[in-house]
Amino acid sequence: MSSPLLEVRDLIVHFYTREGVVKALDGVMLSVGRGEIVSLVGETGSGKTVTALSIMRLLDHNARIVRGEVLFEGRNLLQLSEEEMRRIRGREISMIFQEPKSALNPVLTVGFQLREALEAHGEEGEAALEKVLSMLRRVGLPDPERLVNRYPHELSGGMAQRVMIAMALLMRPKLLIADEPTSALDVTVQAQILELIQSLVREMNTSVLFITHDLGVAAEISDRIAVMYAGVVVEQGNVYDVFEEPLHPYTRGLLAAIPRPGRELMAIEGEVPSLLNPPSGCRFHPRCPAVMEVCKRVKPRLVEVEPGRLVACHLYGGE
Amino acid sequence: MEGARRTSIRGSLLMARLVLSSPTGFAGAVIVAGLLILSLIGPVLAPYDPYKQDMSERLMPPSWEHPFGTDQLGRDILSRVLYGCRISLSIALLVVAISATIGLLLGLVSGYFGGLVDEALMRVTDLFFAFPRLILAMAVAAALGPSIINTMLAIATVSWPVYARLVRACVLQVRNETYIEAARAIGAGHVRILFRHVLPMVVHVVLVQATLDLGSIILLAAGLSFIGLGAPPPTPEWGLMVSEGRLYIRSQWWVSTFPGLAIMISALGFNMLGDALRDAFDVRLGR
Amino acid sequence: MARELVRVEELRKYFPVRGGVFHRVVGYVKAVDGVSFRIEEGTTFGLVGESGCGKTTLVRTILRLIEPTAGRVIFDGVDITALRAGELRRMRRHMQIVFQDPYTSLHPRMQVSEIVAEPLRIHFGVGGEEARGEVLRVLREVGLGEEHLDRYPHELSGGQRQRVAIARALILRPKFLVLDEPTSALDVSVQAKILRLLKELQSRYGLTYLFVSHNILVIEYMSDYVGVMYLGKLVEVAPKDELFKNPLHPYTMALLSAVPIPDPRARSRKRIILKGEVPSPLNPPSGCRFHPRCPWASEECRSYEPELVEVGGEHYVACHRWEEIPRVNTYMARR
Repeated sequence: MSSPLLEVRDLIVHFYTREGVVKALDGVMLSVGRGEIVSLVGETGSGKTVTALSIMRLLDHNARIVRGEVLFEGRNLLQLSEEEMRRIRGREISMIFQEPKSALNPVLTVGFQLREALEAHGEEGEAALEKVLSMLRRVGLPDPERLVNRYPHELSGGMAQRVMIAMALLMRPKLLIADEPTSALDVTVQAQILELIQSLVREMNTSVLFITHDLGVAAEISDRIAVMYAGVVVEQGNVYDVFEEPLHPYTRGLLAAIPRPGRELMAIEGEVPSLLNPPSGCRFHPRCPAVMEVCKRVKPRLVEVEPGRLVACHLYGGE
Repeated sequence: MEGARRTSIRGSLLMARLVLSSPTGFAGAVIVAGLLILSLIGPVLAPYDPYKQDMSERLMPPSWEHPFGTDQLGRDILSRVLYGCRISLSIALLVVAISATIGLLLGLVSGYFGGLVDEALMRVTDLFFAFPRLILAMAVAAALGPSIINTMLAIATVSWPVYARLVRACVLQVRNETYIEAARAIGAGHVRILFRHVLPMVVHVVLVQATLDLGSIILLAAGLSFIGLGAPPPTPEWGLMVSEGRLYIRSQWWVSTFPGLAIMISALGFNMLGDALRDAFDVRLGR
Repeated sequence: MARELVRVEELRKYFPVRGGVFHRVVGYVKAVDGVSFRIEEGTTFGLVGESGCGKTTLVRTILRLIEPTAGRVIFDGVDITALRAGELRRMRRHMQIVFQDPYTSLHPRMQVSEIVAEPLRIHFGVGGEEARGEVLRVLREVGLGEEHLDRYPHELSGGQRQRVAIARALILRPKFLVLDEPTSALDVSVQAKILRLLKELQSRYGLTYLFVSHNILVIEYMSDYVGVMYLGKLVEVAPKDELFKNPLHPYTMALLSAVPIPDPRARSRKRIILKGEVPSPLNPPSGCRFHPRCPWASEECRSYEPELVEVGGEHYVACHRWEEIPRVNTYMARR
């Protein structure tokens, strides 16, 4: 296998807050191959969004990247200058968010904002407009000539997300980071948007890091899936393998906690720990049904148990 | 319950720490504390009887004997300023207590029930807001005649609409919160909802406004006295003292200056404390 | 057949829309537009629909937290739409609600003990130490304990807050509980616990639930009967298994087939992807409200509004063409 497009290695991020130091990411390992859709799945506070913002280098001022590398085509993004990073954002890596309307400027027309995105990277005039119109058509928006003169508040949630996708893909980026892009939408609209993202990125050969809390959505869209818990990627692998035979006790618990016809609903004991004072060793150990003595002391490494199948758990010998 | 007391003490301590940690808040708190102490023990500290006239000692400049000098009737200005502290502060506190209570109740009812009551009340407050506060207070004071009680009535009459407006705006927000709907769903009546559920969410607004208002009411009371519509002579009221000294301001500056400084410092103190209090509530309520 | 506890008859709620210089009423948002159904004692009626379909307004109108424009709600033989304010307040002890967002439904300045005891104080004048025993009992019932009594809502996690809200709703031992998206603000692992708790409480006390959710998997897990709502109306009502095995309304089919299934092997299933989004309830489409998005709409659908009719076995559907539409396998039927 050639080197992946994106590789996050041992990323540790801390936030300095009034209450203390929040150890948000604790050695995140993650990779996204070329043309691949990878879902990053986890519950609230697991560190999915922090991981995405670290890749984009858009973390708040109170955050500190303690350690780690973000390799994009072999270059460590964490070592680039702000100027170099600006050229990468939008052109090589772009991002869409959960609330498309808050990502659009309410006082500017849709067309203006799309063209501005192009102009930022040196494309102007008639050609730029033509590009904008054709992109809007490709994301399935009817009548793009009229749409460019409308304001964000005139759009429905689904339309606004289509506009955001158009904007994100305008520069034909190599990587699209989608942070819960369908969580604010209704299921029938979510289905449309998922289908759209899937068909567009296949066509353009764009890789996607798809962040979601919904395992159902992850199962629908991804090639591979990475499961996060309390700032750690606990399991990573082909989507079929992970859903068919989850290895990490947390992944198993999470899958059993989704109500499904004809199955018993199981809950995970306990609560998500505070990251101000995370548990020692494996961060999942206080809630783990298979906890061993070693789990309380030693943090398990993410090890490859089968080709492409990684898990961070002492059950699988992660010394 | 014991737990409730414990957490409310913890909350107050946090508030105190937040207020005192800002420089203006600290200065404001010191000034206000000083004023409160002086208004309690000022008469004890005063070296002379504030009403005692001595024509042989009139218009004496500041000296060891009379640190602030004497006025046109030979009264000790320091003693009069110290006595005046109690008067100004009592006026301000009473007026604020009256107008804040009236404004709070009207604002609560108006915001919570809405409709015709609200409409009527808001038009009345509009009427008040159409004129400067001092002009209105002058009109009321002139109609009632000069006395300390009338000064307070006049100022209270023109001060409550601010509270009513503020509280109403706050209630409008709180009214739509789910916990209010939840209270209705368990069968709570209007009185209970207003006083147990809405009131605790708006008192802090009133508290901040009241602190800020104390400063401007001291100014307003002084202003009324200055133009002869407030406390009658020979009351040692700061505004009246400034007014009495204005004839001599070129040659005997101390007569007006010391009571004037007292007004300025106290207004400043309440304003700084009020601002810091508002900031502290913003932090504590997570805004 | 079991006893009927709640009957909703032709319930309507129209919100006036004002506009223009004179603030006149220029139209109505028909949030709930003629809804009828019944709930049997001890069962759960699941109400499912997307945002803006009126399900939240519907349940609030049923409890008269919002005054209905027309229609009746019969609760345990009493027409609650005809009750006066005082009578309604007394009636509330029998019908309670748990709201969606436990972060806003609990008063931020009240401790857990006060929040949970408040219904007792209101209905029986009991409070403080006297209520403590009962408060503790109900807190334990929902999986909390003595250590939570003195806490404020902000000191609790989302799941714990929702437990407090459930405790407050249960302390008067009501017969009927409305659950308005009670787990939508929670993570899946917490959601699972709350759902299990609700089922356990139901079987222990024979509670009757009206469970509202946009999440079809949750509705499937909780309900005995399911009603599907679209733009202010019920388009299909049926016993749970029947609805998931044999959906008849095209909207129900689309909704079921759009649910993301946590199993990648299900990707190959045939799906109906609807076009467009839910139209504004201010100007609902003519005829059948679903016709602009319906792949099978005909001339009749554009002009005449279909009635909700029983097509056999307690299965009701509001569609002119339900017999002609091809059936889909939804992957949701219990296997």
